[in-house]
Amino acid sequence: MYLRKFSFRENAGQKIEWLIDNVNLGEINLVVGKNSSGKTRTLNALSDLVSMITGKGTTATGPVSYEMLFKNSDNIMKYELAYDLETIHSERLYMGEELVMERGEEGKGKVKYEATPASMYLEFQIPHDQLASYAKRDRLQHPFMETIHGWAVSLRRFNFSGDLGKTRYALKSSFQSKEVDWTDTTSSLVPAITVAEEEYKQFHDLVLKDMQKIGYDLEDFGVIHFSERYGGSSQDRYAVFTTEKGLQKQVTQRDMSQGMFRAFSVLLQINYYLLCGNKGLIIIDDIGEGLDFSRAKHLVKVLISRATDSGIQLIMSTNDSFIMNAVDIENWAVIMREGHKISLFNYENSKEIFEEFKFTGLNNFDFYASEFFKSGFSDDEQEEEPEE
Amino acid sequence: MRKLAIFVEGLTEQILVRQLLQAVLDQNRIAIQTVKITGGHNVRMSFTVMRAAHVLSQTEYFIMVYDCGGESNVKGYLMTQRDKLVSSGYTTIMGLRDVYPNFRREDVPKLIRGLNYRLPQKRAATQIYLAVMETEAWFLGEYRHLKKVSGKLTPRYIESRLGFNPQTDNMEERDRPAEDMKKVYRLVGHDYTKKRDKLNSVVRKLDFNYFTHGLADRMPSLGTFVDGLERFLQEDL
Repeated sequence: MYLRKFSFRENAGQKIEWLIDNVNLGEINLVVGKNSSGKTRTLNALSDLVSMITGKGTTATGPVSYEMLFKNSDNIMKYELAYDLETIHSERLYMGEELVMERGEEGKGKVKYEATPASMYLEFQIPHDQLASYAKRDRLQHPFMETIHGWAVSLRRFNFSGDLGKTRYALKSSFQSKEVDWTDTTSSLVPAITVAEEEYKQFHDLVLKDMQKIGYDLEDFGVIHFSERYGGSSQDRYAVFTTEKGLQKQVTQRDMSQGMFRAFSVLLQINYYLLCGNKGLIIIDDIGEGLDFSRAKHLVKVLISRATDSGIQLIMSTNDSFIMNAVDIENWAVIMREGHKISLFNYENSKEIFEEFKFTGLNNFDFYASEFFKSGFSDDEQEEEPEE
Repeated sequence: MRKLAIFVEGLTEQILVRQLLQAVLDQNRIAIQTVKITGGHNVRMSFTVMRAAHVLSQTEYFIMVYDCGGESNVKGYLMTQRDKLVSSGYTTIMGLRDVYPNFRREDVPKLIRGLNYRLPQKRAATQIYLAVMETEAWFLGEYRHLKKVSGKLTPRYIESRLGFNPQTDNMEERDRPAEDMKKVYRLVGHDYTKKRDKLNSVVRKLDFNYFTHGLADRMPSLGTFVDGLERFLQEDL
């Protein structure tokens, strides 16, 4: 299920209002924009919604509203939500044109009952601060609730300029899947490696192959007992190691370069995600940050190819020109902020301009740098330059 | 001394432009420097001088020919270097690239418009030219040079073997002229490759008098490019 469109409004009517206006998304999206254009804010709005739907609360600072449109082959699902710090004001879920769940103030609402062939609606009243899409989950009675919840729990967000587990260790070397919070992409990789290698024989080779594709000639990786001689911790800890081809030395996560570890962490987690059969939304903020341009470019190509083959939706953000040049502008989403309003230009909503750009003979980066995405070829053929 | 900068997509065009200008002007009047550009954006742009110019007291024209390492770099490098060149006294700046492989014949008008859209003109006339569909169309059009490769390569022989006649047909209408060049050379057991020595040897065989007069009248894209060069050479000092 793909997220096709979304709108987000926070603190409507106030000076601190934020509006993300009817943003269109494709299956592969490279979100580009200047610093403080709203890239991270837009991605945070998605993460906040997921946090709400999965019952983890919100970081909103005032009244918030969302309109989300999902698409699954020919089926459309629409979800609307409005809440503030204290209470949920409204929540609606449509399957196609049909309203299947609606709740209002005080937690009162109705939901379609699908456990029997006859179409009927059940009334409910839940606590005013709980989402119906979380509180009324029932695979038999309201399967559509599982659909929206499933989308939320399968979302993964990676902050490529962050740690991604490099400074996190594990206190034991073996884990079971149920012990691990797979949505936390910043935790130690030790649990992911032990679980994934136990469950999927091909996992190890897939990760090594992906690392090789982006230019890291790894022969092996795994989990190793790790203690820092002068470290403050007296507990036994376990870390991740990698071994390069031709070298016997096991390099622990502490000694791996930040860029390499980030790439390793993302590829490892995404490989496990795909092996588990997940087909959700993966967000990677600041993709390629810390990698040299060649590896950054190859990483993006590997991710796009994996996403395309497996049917996941991918949103990456960047302001790195090499990455911009490596990704077809048909997969671009140029973000622009005017005051509090964030808009997004992409192939779907600005097709003519995107098509025309190829005739300018410029690199993809110039599409963004020259702001061609705003108006394309305008009628005034040649701007007169002022004489000195 | 008048200065011209030409940004071309690759080695083929760089060698062609250098030899063409050397052929039509007295060696003492012209100094040509060829440079390869790499990098840009996140990596520092670097300039490698392939052949340095010899400037004499009587040199009238200084011409810098940049190999941009790919058609998609021509406009980008031209735009980033234009201000510096204008400050250094360049009065004409040109670009030259192929249509094939990323565009089709029907895209040519749109591509010419797009490439030249809002190109600055202040203090230096600036224009990007196309070779339709590839520079090799111009080589094939100068069919007489093929006899220097082998006496067998007459237009009639080529037509009988490959189905086109470089003397009577307009080679701009061929969709893959570089591929045609290879086929023509293979007819007599030779290779046409993009290696420096090979390109130098091919371009050296061209009759530039015919190339810039008779042929330029028959092949519109070549004619437009030659006109651009002539405009620079005829500028008032």
